[in-house]
Amino acid sequence: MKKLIYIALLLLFGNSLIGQNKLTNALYSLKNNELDKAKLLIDAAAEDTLFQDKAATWYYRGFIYKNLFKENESSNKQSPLRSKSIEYFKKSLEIEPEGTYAESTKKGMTFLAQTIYNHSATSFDPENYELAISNYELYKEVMSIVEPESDFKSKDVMFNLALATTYGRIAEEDEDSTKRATFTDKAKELYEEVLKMDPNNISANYNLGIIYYNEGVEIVNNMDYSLDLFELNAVQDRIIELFKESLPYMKKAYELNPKRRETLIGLQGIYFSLNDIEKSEAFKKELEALDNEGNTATTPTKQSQEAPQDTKLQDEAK
Amino acid sequence: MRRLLSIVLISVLTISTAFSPAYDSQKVDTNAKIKAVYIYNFTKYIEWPSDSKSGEFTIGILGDNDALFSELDKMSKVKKVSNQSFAIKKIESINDVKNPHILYIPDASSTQLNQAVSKLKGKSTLIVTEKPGLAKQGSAINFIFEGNKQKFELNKSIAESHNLKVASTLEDLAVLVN
Repeated sequence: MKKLIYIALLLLFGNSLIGQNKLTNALYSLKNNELDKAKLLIDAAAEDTLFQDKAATWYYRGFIYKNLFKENESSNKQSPLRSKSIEYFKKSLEIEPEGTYAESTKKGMTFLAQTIYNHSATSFDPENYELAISNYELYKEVMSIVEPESDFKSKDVMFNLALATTYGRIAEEDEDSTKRATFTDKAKELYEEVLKMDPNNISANYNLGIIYYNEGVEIVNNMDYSLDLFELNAVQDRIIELFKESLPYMKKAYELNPKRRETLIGLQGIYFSLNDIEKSEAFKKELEALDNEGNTATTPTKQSQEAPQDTKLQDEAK
Repeated sequence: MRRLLSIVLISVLTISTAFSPAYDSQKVDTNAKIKAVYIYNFTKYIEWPSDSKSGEFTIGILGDNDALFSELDKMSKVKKVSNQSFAIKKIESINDVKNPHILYIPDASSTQLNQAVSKLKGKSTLIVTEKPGLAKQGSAINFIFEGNKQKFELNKSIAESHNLKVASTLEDLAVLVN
């Protein structure tokens, strides 16, 4: 980076009649790590018609803002400095997509994209999930500029699972039944999307199985004892439909990992609710055998949101 | 950088089980709740003689069926039969049966049906069972499964022999057994 600054300074001195200008001053300040001063100068340079169509101006502006972000807003998940930095890096690339500064610009953008990704990954909770979504979308947008051939499939799978988990927490914790249903449906959609990308995803299969099963159980649990027999008949039809809907997902999860305790419990419960006691008992026996083998997995519980903490990134642009 | 990114991705991957099953123990007995709803409906569509319409409305369960007992117990706290409160009782032995309004005989206790029938002959007790064929062997109502669905058989003549009047609506919904 320092080498690049020296080269830039030489070029700018050579090309300038005055010998010193706003851009070179900004670079001197940057070199001396006077970031606030560098910002003022580079902002002024960017307004100057002499410099505003040069890729260097926008690259250095992006670079200075990036360093300011690192110093002042690295924990701000919606950092304005980072947004500005990305905007300036993009402008530099627009002016010179393959020029002198292109590689360093892309490195700077990649660094910022990773911080955005991390900020997305640490926002999967009921209060901040919208930030997780917007930051993930921004991460993909930036990385698509840096690497137009980027394949986000595996990251999309992980993102959907994490978001579905968050929706699951909201669905389980919120007291508003309408909100619970809405977020359950949202989670369902995300798991379905995961299965389109990765049909053998065990988490998506298991969770979809549980969602449908829980829907049936919830209907039963909420039934009033004085429910009319005609209505009871209709309710039974509906819950059987839900239990049957849950079954293929849970069976798939079992097929993918027959030794997973949660899945065995799930299948035992689903078959029991479908009045197929023989199959329910068979899975109960498998579960007992697994427990006897010394598997210490616990029964499924609400997952806590284990967002990574203090994930620090190295600045590749240094 | 890639190593640190991997740490983040792995952390995200660990968040895999979003929904927990809607039960605490290894299974939830949805059938018990459905049976409780049926039983409450039986008290609406079957009429007991007038001398049984005072005091508590007693439902006895012969032997073990904790899930059903628990559901009926919950029901007893929020429902009544006209002005009669429910009393839900576990009955250890057939010798302890004392003319309840409803006697529920779970599958595991069904070998005691004959004794129950003898003991309750002519008494105003609705005997309810849950094993195939028992509606022809002395119970007035017998829970069955058709496909995955819980239904009930009704032996009207047995009910009448216990001084119970069955509403036609219940007959319409039942699998009739003679």
